[in-house]
Amino acid sequence: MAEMKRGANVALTREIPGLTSLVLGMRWNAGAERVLEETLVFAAILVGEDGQARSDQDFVFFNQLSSPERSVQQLEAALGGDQEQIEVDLAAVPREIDRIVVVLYVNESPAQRRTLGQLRSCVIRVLDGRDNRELVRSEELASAFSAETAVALGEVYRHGGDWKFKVLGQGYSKGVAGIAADYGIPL
Amino acid sequence: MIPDPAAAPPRPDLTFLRRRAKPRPAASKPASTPASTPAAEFVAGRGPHPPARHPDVPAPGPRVDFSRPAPPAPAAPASLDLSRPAPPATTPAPSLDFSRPAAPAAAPAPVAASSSLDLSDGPAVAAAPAAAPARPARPALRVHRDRRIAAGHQQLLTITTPTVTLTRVQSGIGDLEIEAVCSPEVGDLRLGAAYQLATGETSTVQYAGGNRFAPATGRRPVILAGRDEYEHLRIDLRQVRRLERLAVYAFSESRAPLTWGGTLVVTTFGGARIELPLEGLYQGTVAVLMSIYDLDGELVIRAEMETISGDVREAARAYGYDRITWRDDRHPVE
Repeated sequence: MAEMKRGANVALTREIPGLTSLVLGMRWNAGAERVLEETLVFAAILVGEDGQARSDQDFVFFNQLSSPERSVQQLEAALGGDQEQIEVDLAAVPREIDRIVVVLYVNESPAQRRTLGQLRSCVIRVLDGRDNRELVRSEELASAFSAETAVALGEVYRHGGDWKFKVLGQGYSKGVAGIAADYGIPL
Repeated sequence: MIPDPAAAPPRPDLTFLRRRAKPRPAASKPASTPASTPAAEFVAGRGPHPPARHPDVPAPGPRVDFSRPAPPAPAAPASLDLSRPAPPATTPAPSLDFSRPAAPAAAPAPVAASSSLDLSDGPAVAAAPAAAPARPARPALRVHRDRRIAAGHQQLLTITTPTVTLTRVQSGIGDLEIEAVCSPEVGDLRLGAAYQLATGETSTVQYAGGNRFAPATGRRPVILAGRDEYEHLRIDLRQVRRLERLAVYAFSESRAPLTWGGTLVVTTFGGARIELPLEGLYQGTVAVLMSIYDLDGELVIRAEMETISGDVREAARAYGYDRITWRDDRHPVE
């Protein structure tokens, strides 16, 4: 399976004709760090051409995102070892959304300070939404983390009439506040 | 780690994005509140408190004086209780009960007639995003018409403007701190809260002579009571979906009447401050200062400012926390 380095991109819809929906899958391993595991949040940010989210509603996370209607068995099969996935129906993405950035962050709380440096493993994958076949995956991103508490993992973005995927692996020492500042999400 | 997919509030606009995660055996909330219900009235400061939503509890009856709720009248008609999906036991509305079914696949769940409900859980099929093709570019998602607050800004809660509603982002990132900034001249003021979780679990949390964690057991408290310079409560917003509501109270530890003063300050992760001056309270030893409700993923913060005769027990009861059992007038049964 193709493994992509940070900064690498791939022209998904050009290389895979007929790709109508894709799945961004996250798998991570926090080892014995249960607190880290429990405070991690996976989110997607909907970004316009100016690189900014349009409002707080473009920060799509556990407190504002609905889920598909699937059986547990279907989910387990679909997840295939990922902790979280987001399905993207490419044709239905509104015009004004230029890219979808997926991020992982530690929800900071004074009592429980954890960093992404404690992650043993962190990989983002892209699957074909039709059959859940893995198309590409990132290199191991966790090895570069130390004091970061948030990371922009990758993005799916428009390019001409196509959709491309890029591995970001961009860490933030200021956590989700840093991500919110970069993408213009009102906190 | 995986947030409970069943607990996600609705985003009917996001037809192109769907989330997949394994369901967890945690409690989920029932589907959310349509805009035109008493919940909206509540948010606007006009309505009664959204009542407790426990299957065994008859909904509190309609209250006349909304700003100073009388003790709940048990067994009163539940007809005004539209702010939360009523439990099947009290009203014939089984379609609103989306509390986590044991086996999603097995449930051809009663499908809600109203499409305004979030059917984000497994078995529900009515809101299948596939069935929603072209839709307006940007539907209004702010369910609650209320004052909002921006990062770094300050809002005052007053009698005429008693509420502020946080966005779902503000309600779900970092933690929310509630601090009683009071000088010693007030007396030995202590802070606490009666709370109810999505599971129905209910008790109090307070730093002085009480339980500092809510819930009392378990590794991951949703609310922590503590004291630095002042007494405070902290809500872990990573777990906001577990929280149903809380009522913040202050009491005199020595039971000597307090000379109310100072300010209750609520601070968000983004540094927004919601401030409630306490001078306006009648003299007494216990007062309910503020209530916080999770409505549809958004935390609604409302000034209550009511001195209660009695103690913490009476304060909790007056605000509908009538399933707490008490060791004495200040401490719940552990």
